[in-house]
Amino acid sequence: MSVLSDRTKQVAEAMKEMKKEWVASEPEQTDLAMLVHLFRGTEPIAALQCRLDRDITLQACHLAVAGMAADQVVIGFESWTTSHMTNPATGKEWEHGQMSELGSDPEAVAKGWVKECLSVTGYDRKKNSTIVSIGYQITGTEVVFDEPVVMLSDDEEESWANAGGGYMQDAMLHAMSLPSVLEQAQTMEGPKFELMRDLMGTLGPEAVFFHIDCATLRTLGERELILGAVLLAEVGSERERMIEERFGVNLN
Amino acid sequence: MAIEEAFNQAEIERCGTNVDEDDEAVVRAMYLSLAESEELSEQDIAVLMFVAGRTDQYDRTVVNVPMSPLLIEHFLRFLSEAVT
Repeated sequence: MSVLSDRTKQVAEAMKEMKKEWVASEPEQTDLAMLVHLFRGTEPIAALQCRLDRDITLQACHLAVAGMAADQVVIGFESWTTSHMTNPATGKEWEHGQMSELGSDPEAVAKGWVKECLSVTGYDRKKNSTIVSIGYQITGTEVVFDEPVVMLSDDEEESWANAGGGYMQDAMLHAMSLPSVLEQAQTMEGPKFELMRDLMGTLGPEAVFFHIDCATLRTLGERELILGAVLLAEVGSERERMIEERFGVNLN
Repeated sequence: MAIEEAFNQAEIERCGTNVDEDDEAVVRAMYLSLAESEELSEQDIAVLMFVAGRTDQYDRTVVNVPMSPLLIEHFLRFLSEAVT
């Protein structure tokens, strides 16, 4: 199992637990917000909460991946799934948007043509992608989950990315192919970037990453691309110390 | 053609634009907002007109901005504060 698929499955399990707790609290709206987890190297660095809006979340991911120099990103969101190979309403192959269209039709849902699901997709800079889809049904305040369906682009037997595609995958693989802000800053001309390089040389790499992470979160917030965010760090690490110094809190 | 290749001016001119005049003002305003800028260079406009035909699920125009000036400002300020 690759690191990417492992992380995607972990986030999917965490979302299942969140979903159970959220539905048990009897909210008016049972859907979860969109969640984005970012990883750099071997470490998780941040988690973002975004509105239920695919395109705003993609904008946030685009900026966060470049800003934080993330090597992997995992996005969790509510979606629709089906066990039908073709669209039962048309008898033809599924087209983009048709599952959510049927999802708004109570008759189609009652017939089991489509079913609500948690979708968790992971992407890395090596163009690998993973999707975990977990169908579910809500009865009162309880959620009953199906077995997860896992599709890996880096698994020869379950190739998905090359055959599947789609807008979100295209957008994320494109975002993951772009250089990070730190990489771009190394070659940009002008006094601002010269000063930046001098300051980065004065501070250690861990401090530079911490400040670019903070700058990215500040920008995401000011541009209203996220609802909230958490910076992550290993217990006892220099990064944890910097988070405590800057924000004065530690939720470990 | 991949979006990143659209930054080649000659390629853009060869492919032409896919934005009509009615859309252009909207696209320009959106780009300025996303780029956190007040004016567009000729290169920006050429790139913008090429990529602006791509729309999202709600028919909103998709524009890729490679580097956020706001992010750069915050980063520079945080670095300066850390050093002083």
